[in-house]
Amino acid sequence: MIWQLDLFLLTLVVICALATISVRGLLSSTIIFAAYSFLMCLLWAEMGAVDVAFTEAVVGAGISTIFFIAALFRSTTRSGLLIRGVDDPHHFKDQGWKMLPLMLSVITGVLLFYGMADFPAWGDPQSPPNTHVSSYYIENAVRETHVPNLVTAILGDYRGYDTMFELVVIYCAGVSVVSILKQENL
Amino acid sequence: MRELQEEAKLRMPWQDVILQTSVRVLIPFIQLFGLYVVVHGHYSPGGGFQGGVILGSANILMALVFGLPASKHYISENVNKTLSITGPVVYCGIGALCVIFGGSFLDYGALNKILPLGPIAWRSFGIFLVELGVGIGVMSIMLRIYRVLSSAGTIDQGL
Repeated sequence: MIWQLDLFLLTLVVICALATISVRGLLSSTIIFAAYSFLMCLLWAEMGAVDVAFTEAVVGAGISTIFFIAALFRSTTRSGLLIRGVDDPHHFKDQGWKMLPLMLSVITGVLLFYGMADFPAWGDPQSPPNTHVSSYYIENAVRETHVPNLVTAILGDYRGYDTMFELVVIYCAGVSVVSILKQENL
Repeated sequence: MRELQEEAKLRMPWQDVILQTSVRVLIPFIQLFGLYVVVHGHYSPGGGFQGGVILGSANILMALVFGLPASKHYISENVNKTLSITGPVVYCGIGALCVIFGGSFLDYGALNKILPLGPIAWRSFGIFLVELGVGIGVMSIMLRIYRVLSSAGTIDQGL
């Protein structure tokens, strides 16, 4: 952990998050959101969670951006395709600060920060998650499964149910997208 | 792939030649990288999920640049439908196979009775097999979602 790099990346993340919600065009918003995902990926990689970073890069910055753009190209408003930008000046009339959602999200954020104060320090070897099962995995996983990448060993073997139902959830997502958009017998 | 580009030139004349050529060259490497990520998950970051998404996005890139028919030429809709259920079936099937051979569900060491490699080698190999299932499933499901989204449900013409 290099705190200067962390601070720099976190500042960029916050800037990207604010830009995503405040920029006018939905296409620009999608692209900035991809940049946000990629910065998050850099943060994960910097914290040592390389598998999570890989997933974030591939799914968050890669394929979900493609899905967003594909959905945008097929979405229409009253004045035509959404992707061309909204010409109607009245469309953005109601775009001021909405007080209730703003207050709700600020309160949630403050509560989350308040809860974070009770977290153990980052990488603390004495914290409960690091003393309970992690040490068992670190000591025994390679010997028991012959898989040097502990994340794969845990996901595929010790937490096999988790990964299995993850795959089932993805399948269900695919089936529901198909059944919502289905035109004929697919 | 070269015929694909010739064909796409007729079908999508507005598409850029540089884009088409570079994508034509790039796609095999993306697929190779995806396969590498799937099978090398034991030793490096990655695994079935990430590799499957990369494999799927190679075909999505093909669909974006050469049109949806070109992508359907390589993985037809029926094959894709079958593959998307193959992933979960492979995963659950290996779990069930462990039960049949006398272990608990997803206890790969029990598969030692099929081929005596030793329970530890089978645990490693079992992880590889389920990762393969995850890769196949995720690849085709991502591809299917993209096809349906980009063609508004008809799957004949993409973006």
